[in-house]
Amino acid sequence: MSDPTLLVLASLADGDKHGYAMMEDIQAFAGARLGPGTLYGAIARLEERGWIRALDSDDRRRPYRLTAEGRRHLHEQLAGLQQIVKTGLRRLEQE
Amino acid sequence: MKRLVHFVAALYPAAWRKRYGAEFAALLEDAAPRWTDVFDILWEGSMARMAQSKMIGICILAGVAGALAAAHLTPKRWVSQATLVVQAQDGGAVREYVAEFSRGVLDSSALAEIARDRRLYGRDVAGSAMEDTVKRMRRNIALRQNGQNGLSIEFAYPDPKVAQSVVGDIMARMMEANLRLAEDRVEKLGLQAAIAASYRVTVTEAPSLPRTPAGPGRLTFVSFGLTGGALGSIFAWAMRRLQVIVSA
Repeated sequence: MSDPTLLVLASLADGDKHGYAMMEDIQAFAGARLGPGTLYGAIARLEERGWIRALDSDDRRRPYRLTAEGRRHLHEQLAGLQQIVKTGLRRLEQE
Repeated sequence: MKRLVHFVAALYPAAWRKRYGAEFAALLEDAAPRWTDVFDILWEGSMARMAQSKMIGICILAGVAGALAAAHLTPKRWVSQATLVVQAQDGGAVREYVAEFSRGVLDSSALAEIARDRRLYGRDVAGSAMEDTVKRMRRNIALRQNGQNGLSIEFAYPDPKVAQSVVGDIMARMMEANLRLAEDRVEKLGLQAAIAASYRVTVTEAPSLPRTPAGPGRLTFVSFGLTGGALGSIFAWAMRRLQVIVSA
């Protein structure tokens, strides 16, 4: 799973986070470090699609939240991946 | 390294920087930037810039394409032309005489009659529709004096044969008007004096059947294209402004 938008959505699934917190979280759960440009490219695309939204903040570190639509999209994507993982593992075990 | 990544981050378009600049700068301060981040930011910044330029390019191209299509759909204009020579028997001036007999030929009722006969502009033949038709006809008729005695008549219309027929109608009416004026002179002055003061109108060039359209020409296409491009740019600019306002 290397799609940065999916990683950002997955990171926000357990709560609001700002850019740096997302970067750390993604590195922890996916073992992949997203570059700052890639991370903000994904954030901008997700915000444009309405899958995440920026929250008000006095700090420059603006947190983001997953929207209901974003949650639904993430669910669909993960369900699809789960199916692929299941099928792949089953076929490996059959050999 | 931090200075370098901040410098590279300036590559992002202004609208992007306005929206994400502060938090992006905060991220660059929190995360220890690596060499690879320089290329990462360079790549994403270029992509953001290209997406913006692409939108502007698409808007301009769409404007140009739309305008050229409109120019292409503009009906062609075919101009038929004929020339007459008016000569005074006594060698006097013909300018005033031409103006006199042209007036009757080009008045509203005469033009309305031609429009009705030729079913010009596919309009209804009554009321204000006919007034519009007559106005439109007038705009497309050109009478020019060539030298001392020549008179050229032109009519532009989307159909070359109709343009030719209308010029023929106008010419025929001019000949008739000349005869009527001659009859009036006979009544007023008597035959001998009227002959001495008469005018001879001769057709030197019959109404032409135009082979090539007079418009829309290259200039029209270029001006339509430029207008479309300008409208596209304005649209792209307005969209960007709107984006900045919404994201602010």
